[in-house]
Amino acid sequence: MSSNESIKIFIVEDDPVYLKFLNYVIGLNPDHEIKTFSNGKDAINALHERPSIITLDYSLPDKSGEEILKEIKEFDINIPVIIVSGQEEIGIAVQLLKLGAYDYIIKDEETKERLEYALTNAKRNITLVNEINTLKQEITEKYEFGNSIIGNSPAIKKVFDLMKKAIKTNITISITGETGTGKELVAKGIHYNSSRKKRPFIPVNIAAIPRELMESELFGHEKGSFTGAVTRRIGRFEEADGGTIFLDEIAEMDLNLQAKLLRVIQEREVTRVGGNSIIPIDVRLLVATHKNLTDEVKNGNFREDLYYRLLGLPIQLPPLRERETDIIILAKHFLSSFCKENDMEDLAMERETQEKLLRYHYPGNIRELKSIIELSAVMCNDNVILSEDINFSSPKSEENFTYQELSLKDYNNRIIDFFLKKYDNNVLKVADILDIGKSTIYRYLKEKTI
Amino acid sequence: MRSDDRNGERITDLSYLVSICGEDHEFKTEMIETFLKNTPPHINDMKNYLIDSEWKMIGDIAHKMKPSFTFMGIHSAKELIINIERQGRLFEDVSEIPTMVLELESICNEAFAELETELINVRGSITN
Repeated sequence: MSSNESIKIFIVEDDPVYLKFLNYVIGLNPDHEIKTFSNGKDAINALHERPSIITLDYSLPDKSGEEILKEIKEFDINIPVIIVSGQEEIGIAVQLLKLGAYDYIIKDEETKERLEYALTNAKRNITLVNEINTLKQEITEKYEFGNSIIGNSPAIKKVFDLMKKAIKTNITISITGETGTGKELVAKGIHYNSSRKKRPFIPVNIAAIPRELMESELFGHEKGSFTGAVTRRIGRFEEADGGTIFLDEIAEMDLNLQAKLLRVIQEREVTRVGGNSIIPIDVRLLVATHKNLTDEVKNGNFREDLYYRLLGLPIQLPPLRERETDIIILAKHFLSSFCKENDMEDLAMERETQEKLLRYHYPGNIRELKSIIELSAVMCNDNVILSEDINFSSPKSEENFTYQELSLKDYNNRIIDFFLKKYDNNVLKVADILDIGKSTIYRYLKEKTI
Repeated sequence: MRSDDRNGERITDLSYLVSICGEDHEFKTEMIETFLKNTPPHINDMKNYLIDSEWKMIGDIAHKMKPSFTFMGIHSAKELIINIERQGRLFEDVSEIPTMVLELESICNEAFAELETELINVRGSITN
């Protein structure tokens, strides 16, 4: 709701004098669209018209304010109901506020100012709620299958199939894959397409949190439980109640904490550090690692019982080099998104650029491809990304060099090409660096020309 | 304060109503008209309930009337109407209620007369 958007307000008041007054005061704002009711039943019957705010008299001829308030809240708990009443008994006011009344205003000489203040606050609240709902909707759409995970290679189709199975139940999901393959994206995709999508998705990167803080981070702590615990803190598991917790880099978890995690998973309850109370939790668990957990178990770094608890439905994400047909689809997607986010004109990729992208093997996977494409979009001229705009920066260049499994002759030629380009076709210099005769280079160039 | 003790002082004070509507005479007229239309039936209902000693009903009517007295600035009736409301609803000193209702009627009659005059003046200012 923007500041100049019309807002529908119901006034429920049986005293004609006061009804006129409320209608006048609320109507001073031209953005208010007012509908008045002199009894509770008519107001309840009109709730389908979706009022944004309701002002409600406590004493109505047909129903008590309490009854009407309950019926409104049953219809839509988010409608702010401002009670405007001649009742000055604090007990009644407290009871109505407990039932969810937004504010309680007594009919006296300050009613006008209090009502204006309450309406301003209620509208601000509505704006915030609307913004939250819009963001929730955007997130849900963003993580719909096909919107978040792009590609149609057989390898990614297999992942889609597993994700569709994963959303039908609350089974624990263990996601494995090299760095940059999109493990968190898959976790979000599962959460936002599951029945838990309206509840929180809480990602925790185990590798990024110091070991000594991890227990408090996951399970919370009570005030004074250790030096620096100046207030009570709710842990990530409690935060995720009703929703999903995603433990990324689970293999990095300390063995002691693994035992505590196992207990939490088995008992479905947490105890805050320094606390005695047991807090039941309803949390779906998704875990991910780039390591081979079986090896970690064999090496004694990971508890075997926890491993079996976490295994659930395993989803192995393929590295990008095994999704060759997806590389250009992803590259074009990243390019289009980047242009849109930066208010740039759409950019094209020439054929040679696409071939260059296909030749690379992406040790950093999709994350690396995205960075390469975004950099190329910045570097290019004339709205076309040329081959030279593509810069691979992987430090693992030797892996990159050998992944295509070429013949030795082809590798040799590729090396000569690389250095000729680097030294402006200075044959003598290249021959010197590679410790080969210049005739070898000339022979190669002659063959290449033929 | 009894009506005959007021020595010609005005019983109504529209300063609060004016603080709300300013120069909006149309709204001021509507408020006075609505008060004049709705209050006499309330007084009559109270008197009818006196016959059957329906104290709670009298208290409820007083509660309903109370806020509109604020707009008309009938300050002299404020305490009276609060007492009728409380005593009627809680069945306290109910023997005092008939006298209080009659006193309220008397104050209201004076207020009605003042407000009728006020209406004529306001309508005149709208016409002019």
